[in-house]
Amino acid sequence: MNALPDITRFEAGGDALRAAVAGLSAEEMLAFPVPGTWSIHQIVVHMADSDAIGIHRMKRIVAEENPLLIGYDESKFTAGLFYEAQSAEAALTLFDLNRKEFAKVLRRLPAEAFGRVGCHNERGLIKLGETVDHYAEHLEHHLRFVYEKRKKLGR
Amino acid sequence: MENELIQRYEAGATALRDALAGLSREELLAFPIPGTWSIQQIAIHLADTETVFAARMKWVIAEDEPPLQAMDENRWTAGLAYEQQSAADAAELVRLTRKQMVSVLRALPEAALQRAGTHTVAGRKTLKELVEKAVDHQDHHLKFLLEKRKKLGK
Repeated sequence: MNALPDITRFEAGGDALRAAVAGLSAEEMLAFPVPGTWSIHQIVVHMADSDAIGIHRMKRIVAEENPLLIGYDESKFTAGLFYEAQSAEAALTLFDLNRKEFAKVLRRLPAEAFGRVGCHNERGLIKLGETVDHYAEHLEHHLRFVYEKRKKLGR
Repeated sequence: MENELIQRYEAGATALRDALAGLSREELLAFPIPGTWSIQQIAIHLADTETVFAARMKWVIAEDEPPLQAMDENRWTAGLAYEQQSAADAAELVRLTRKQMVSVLRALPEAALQRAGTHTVAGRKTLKELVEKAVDHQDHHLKFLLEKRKKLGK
């Protein structure tokens, strides 16, 4: 038996991310309230980048047979992709639309599809269902840091 | 950097949105040229490929000589409920994906266009070739999209 993922939780991520940064100025988004860790802006762009790759992986698992899934180095992406030059607003909408559209795909799948697998070059075999939940958790993990940084900013 | 290629890539950000203007859901889902994709399928395909193309560019910019994976477009079109998705959202995903990539490309020095990765089918590809591919691929599909619009009398 494969446990079914919580598609509603995954889909609600776009609204949760937007709510977490509501009312922050560009200066507050770009600040480093917890030294040595990412700015809120970096987290928002990271979420859009990470989900673009994550949803792409899940589409491979749904559409292809036992596809290879290649890991990426999030520190190199954050350091090398000029996150401060990218738009947080565009990242929020990309994140939200990608999840909402992919949730429609997930809802059309039969239960057994969530046991489909891909082979990640660093983590081995991963199932579709657990990957949906993994990305829901990935956002929640980062949201905790966003709220901690907001607190430090007095917001 | 600033050059003609980035300008073409940026100019195409709203091309899908413009090409879909005024089409009803029935027209999007119709097959005006039998045996070929609907306009809806082209729109969702363009959003899927734009995400893949941008991810490949990011890999090549951020990592050294990364592997780049091919995708099986026919399997994606057949297996990912393309008729259930929103063509308008697809056009917005294309627009925003290009907007973000343009910001990254403009922040890079010209020499970065020679950074490269190895595609599992097509071999070694430079950043310049990856941007050209994104531009040409969308232009190619939009020609068919406009031909289908014409058949629909739109």
